[in-house]
Amino acid sequence: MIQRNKIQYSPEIEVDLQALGKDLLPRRFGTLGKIWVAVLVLSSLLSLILYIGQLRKGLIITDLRDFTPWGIYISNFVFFVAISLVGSLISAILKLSGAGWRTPMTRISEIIAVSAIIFAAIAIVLDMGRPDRFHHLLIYARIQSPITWDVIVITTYLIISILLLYIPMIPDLAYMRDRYHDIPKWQHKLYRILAINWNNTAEQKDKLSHAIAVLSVTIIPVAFGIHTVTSWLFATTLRPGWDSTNFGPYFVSGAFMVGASGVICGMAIFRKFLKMDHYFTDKHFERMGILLMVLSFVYLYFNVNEYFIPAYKLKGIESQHLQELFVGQYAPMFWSVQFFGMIVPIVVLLFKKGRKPVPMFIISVLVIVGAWFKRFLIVVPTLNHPYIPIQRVPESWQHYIPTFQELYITLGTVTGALLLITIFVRLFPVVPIVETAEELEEKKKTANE
Amino acid sequence: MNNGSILKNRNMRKFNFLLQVLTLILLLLTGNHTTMMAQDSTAIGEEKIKARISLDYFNINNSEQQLIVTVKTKVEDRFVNTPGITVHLYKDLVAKENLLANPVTRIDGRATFALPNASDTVRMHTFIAIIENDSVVDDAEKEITISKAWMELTTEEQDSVKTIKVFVGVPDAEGKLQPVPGVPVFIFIKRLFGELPINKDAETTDEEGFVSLEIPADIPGDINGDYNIIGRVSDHELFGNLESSKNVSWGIPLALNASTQLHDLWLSSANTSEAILIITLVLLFCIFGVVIYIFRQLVNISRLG
Repeated sequence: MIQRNKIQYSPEIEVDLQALGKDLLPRRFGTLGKIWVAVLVLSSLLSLILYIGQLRKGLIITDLRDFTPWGIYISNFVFFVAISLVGSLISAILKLSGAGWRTPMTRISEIIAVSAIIFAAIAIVLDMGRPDRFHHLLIYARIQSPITWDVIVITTYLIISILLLYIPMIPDLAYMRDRYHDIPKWQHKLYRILAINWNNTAEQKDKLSHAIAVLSVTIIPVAFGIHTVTSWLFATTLRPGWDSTNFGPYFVSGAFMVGASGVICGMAIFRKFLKMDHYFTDKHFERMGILLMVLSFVYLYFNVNEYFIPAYKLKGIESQHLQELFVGQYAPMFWSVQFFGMIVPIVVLLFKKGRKPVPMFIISVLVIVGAWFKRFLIVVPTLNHPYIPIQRVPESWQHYIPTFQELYITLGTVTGALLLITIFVRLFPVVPIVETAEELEEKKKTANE
Repeated sequence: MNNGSILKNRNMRKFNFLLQVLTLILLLLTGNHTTMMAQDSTAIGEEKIKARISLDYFNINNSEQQLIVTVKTKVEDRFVNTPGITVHLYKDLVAKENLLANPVTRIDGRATFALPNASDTVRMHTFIAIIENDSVVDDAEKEITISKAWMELTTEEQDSVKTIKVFVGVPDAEGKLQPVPGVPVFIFIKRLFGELPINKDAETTDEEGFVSLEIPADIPGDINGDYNIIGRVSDHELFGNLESSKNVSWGIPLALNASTQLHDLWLSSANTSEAILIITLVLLFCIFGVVIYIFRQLVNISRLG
């Protein structure tokens, strides 16, 4: 094996790197961390067992019937797609707009994006009655079908998100290859392979920054594409509540809102449990708070637009659908989502005190939970009102209440995504080490000048 | 089904949903997943459920005779279709040798039995449907007496006036058909998702056993102008349900604009619109061109090291 010399950084950066390495290099989990991992593993395994049961018995174990063939599996898919948009928001949009403060959050946002999009794809498979025919989506693909577009765009977004997570991490991987000791051999080997001979030369840095810039630009249309195409799965179907030309921007704005909340939650959790107060400061929460408030306003605007116009016209079966949402069986869920998932965040975030870590964490959890139920409200109530009535089916088929198995399998996708994030945190630094050191040095130079 | 019972049912469902969520949280906290497996098992009480049974006879095109049994049970003050109930069907007498079949009700609460077309000199039969010794529902019985009738639909076209004639008769002792007057007959035209009634009120057969009806000339057919006319007697106390149908070419042929339909979004992959194909491929080449470029950069970075 070729013996490699350690990368030599400038003496000033070396000092910063040592300090940062102490804080940011991945550490072994304590008792609480081990319990967390155990809970996630057990919960995911139990979901897997239940899913095997679904594979054996078929979708009959769910409450999915002719009226509601898309239940919480698909609403969960839409939720995951939405939350995955955070990668493009933080890594691309904020980067291109020159927001230097976003550096500590980039990696969290990318790992959330990658985990979410992987489990979005899994959520689709869960909804399939014959997952063994998954490859038929490719073999018998109709390019004019929005489902084919979705398969293409999800795959593309996953590839670009993995690249956008991996490429900016190469300097850190090289740093860990050279300076991170007392770790198992396989872990060291992993860093060595992933670091792809990084030597921090000027030429390498130039190529790396160029690649990141190209990816940052590329991911924006793909990110808009993934959620717009997901919205078209609904909008291209003639159904009350989905027959809207507004669905693309409506979905994208909601996705940015929930994605930002996901990052805020991650920041708050890492700040608390990995003692990262220096990296996720009150200033970061303040800025993310303002960003979340703006995104909430945009989403509120689209919500008003989406419900007010059909409610004004109340045409045909659309009125039945809206009545179910406004005053019918879904009204408690609908108004809770609007109030706790949108109005409360806006009101709280208007005040400076509301943009502190603890209230921000609570607000973000509200937004995320609200966003999940919001997707349920988009998918399920509409399916109960087909334009052509389905005949000769039992009365119970006209309602949809997810079964225990469905709920738990769905929960398994959430715990699975959290497990993936946890594994990442155990193996890789959640805040870029080398990039932060270089930025610190840059700031010092600017201050001295 | 009244509004009160719907509301009650919905409330029950909401309650069950909340209960499931709470159970889920409890299971997460305790890690005890044995109770979960039992959640589907419904507690069946000692008392049996009251059942209602109905029996209908169908004779379609004088060749296909069917008995359809529908079982409903009382749940929360209303009758709902009940699947999985075994019904014993007898002809004329409840005796082992007269047992026709033991069909089980499907998910819509119905069970169908096709009567064999045996040469039968007896023209009137009693059919009996019985539920007995079922573990879930109470015993129930239904009996109908049916006289086998003959129904025939013929068509006539004179000076572009299109008429159909439906004859209803019963065979006498010598097997000769005798007309039956006063039988109400409905006429329909089969459509894609239902049936178009041609006569709002039933026409009754005349002394010669005939019903005549003129069919409007402006009814759309398929691409060849064909459609299916159905004559039907429903729930007659003696004859049960009779149906006779015939395909005719009296409709207005459906005009398909092949040049646009071929490229509609819902057609097969072979007929994909060129515009969509080109746009998608260009986008894919652009995006994956970038991905390939990035991989090349990674290879270069590795080589430079």
